[in-house]
Amino acid sequence: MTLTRCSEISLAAALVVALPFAAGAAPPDHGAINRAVVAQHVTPGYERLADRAEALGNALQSYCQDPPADGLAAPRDAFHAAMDAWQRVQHLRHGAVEGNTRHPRVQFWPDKRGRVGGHLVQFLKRDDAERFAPAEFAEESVAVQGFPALEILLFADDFSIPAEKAPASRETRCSAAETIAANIAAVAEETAEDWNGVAEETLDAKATTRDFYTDLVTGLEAIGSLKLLAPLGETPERARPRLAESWRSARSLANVAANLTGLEELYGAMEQTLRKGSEMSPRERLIRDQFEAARQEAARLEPSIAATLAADRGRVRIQSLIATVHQIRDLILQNLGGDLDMTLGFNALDGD
Amino acid sequence: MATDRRTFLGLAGAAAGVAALLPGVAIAAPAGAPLRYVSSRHDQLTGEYSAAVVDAEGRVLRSVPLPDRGHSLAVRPGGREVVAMARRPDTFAVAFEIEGGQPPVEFSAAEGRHFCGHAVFSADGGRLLATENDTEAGHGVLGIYDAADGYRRLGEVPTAGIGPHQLLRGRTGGTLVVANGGILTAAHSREKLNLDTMSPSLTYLSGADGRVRQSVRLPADRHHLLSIRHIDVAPDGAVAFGCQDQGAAEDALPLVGCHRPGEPAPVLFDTPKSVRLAMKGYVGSVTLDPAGEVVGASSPRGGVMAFWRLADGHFLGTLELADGCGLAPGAAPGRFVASSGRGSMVDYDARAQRAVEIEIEPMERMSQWDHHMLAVPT
Repeated sequence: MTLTRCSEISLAAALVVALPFAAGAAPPDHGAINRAVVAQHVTPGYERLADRAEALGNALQSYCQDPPADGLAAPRDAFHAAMDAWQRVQHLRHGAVEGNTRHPRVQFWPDKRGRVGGHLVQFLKRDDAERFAPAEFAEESVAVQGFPALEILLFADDFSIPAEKAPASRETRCSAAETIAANIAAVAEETAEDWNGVAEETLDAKATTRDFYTDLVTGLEAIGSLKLLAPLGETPERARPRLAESWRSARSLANVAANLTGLEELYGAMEQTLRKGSEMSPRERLIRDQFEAARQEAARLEPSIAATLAADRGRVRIQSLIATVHQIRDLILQNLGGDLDMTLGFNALDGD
Repeated sequence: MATDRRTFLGLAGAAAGVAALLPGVAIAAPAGAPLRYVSSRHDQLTGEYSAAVVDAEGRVLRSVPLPDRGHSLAVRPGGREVVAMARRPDTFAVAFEIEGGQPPVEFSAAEGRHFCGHAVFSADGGRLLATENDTEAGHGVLGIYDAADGYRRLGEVPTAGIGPHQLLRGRTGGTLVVANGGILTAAHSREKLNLDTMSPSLTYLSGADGRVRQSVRLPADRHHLLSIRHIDVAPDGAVAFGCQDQGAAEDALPLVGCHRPGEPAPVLFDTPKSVRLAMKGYVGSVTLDPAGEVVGASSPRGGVMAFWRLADGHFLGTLELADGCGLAPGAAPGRFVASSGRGSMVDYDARAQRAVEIEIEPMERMSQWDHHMLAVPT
């Protein structure tokens, strides 16, 4: 078969077929892999998020009680720290985070129809104090419950705006922001607790490994396609930086760097268990080098995609980062999938 | 629901003024390139299911939410409406206009029936016929729905087999072609209950009264374990089919073949052993090119699609596409559009063996295309 490239995105990813683990080799110990992933990556990740969301709540509370001279600097820093923690586990979409719509409650994104802004304004305008009670708030639209709504409050709707010009009083906006931070902390804590108490049979199951593996590959795909390629547009004139995640807080590429840290942590926990403490294989070294290269590429860019695009060679550098991330995805699909005894297989697993 | 042909015929007559399941002459697909495709899909980020209309440039033109995972779809003649069918053993179907306009119409299988994933419209577009499982009796039926009346169920006829899957209109005398996969499953389940006795068939039903015109089977030896699931019909009436092997996949039986109505038995195409092994005993969809001369069959389990000349079964080659399953006729003879569970679409020329990726717009790349992609004639 001959292959014609018609885009910067390699067809190779679509074409790779993972080989099953080497003939004669022992099948992978899915129970051990799952336990390593949960212990090294999942539970600490949600605990970190819970801690930082709590710190964010405290920073907001101090700010709201007594606005300091440096304005929103402290709560904004705390927002960045909490968002870094979230982005390290954002790719996890199976398991405890599936319950109670936890994932979209922490971050409703992509927001293709601009629901966050609309729902937030409606929420702020309402006149019932009950809506700030944690149990009530957890029943609100998911669009107002997490980071994107908080981002608007902290970065677009400056609390110092006089009340008559803002959609709600400073007190209301402060209450909303503090409630969101507490909500994120509660969701993260519940998720960590659920993982701590997860059934042994779930930890033993090959299906759980499949979920982690799917999350790993999907996470890498999401960076390339959704987070970087979509805002880039087909031509420089058609760039759409506001399609980028977290454009208001100008941290889109900081998200990508945190994603890569979390994804490597997940990958590493699986790989380390597979090799049972022996030396890193050449392919693991290669994949880890690529993770490091991608993180460095992301770190060298302005965290804001708009700023990066405006900079010299910014567009080319983003394209290069996309290529590196897709390379990691392909290496994992070609190598790790077989060793874990699984292919992704949405259709392959269907049976009809 | 009590079923007999008189009930059905009475309803059909009352509804359409003619006692025919398939009133009207089959409308040949108009010449010209089909530019739009429909498929069910799954969003990997949100977990939501939808049916999408996508053009040949990879732009998603419309997306209609589905309550759960879909399978195949039926395009209403005229090309303005599509019905997305639930994945077996679910019971929902969603009809929607390709261009938008009216809100989608959701309807359900009858009590004691579930959908099997496929449906087809009558040639005049007035009726929708869906393969269904009568879970109590354990045999297949075709449910008949009135497209002009909110998809009200008019009745049903037996498919003359167990576990019906895909059905299509035949080319002669208003026949219907049904792939009776032969596998018995219980209500709400996909568990296989009769692998020792299964007897899959390819069955031709009269469009006038639902009676069996012909039913053919593969040889009763090891081949009775080849569940005939997917079909396509050539302009001359020949039926290409693909099977799923319920025996050991290592036996590497050929899985794709054809049958010409009236001939006593279907034939399986000669297939290189490496390809038979690569297909892992599983075919997920079977489609002819726009000329009706090339047969394509996908194996998502093997990450491979294989192609043959219909006229003589000559093997043409393979396209490797990880988790590739959807296969629709392309823009010209010999061409196909293939889709995968990893979200990609490929324009493939089976004669030149040349593949070109169709670039999906970035915001839509987290979608996994489900088993079937259909071309909407323009």
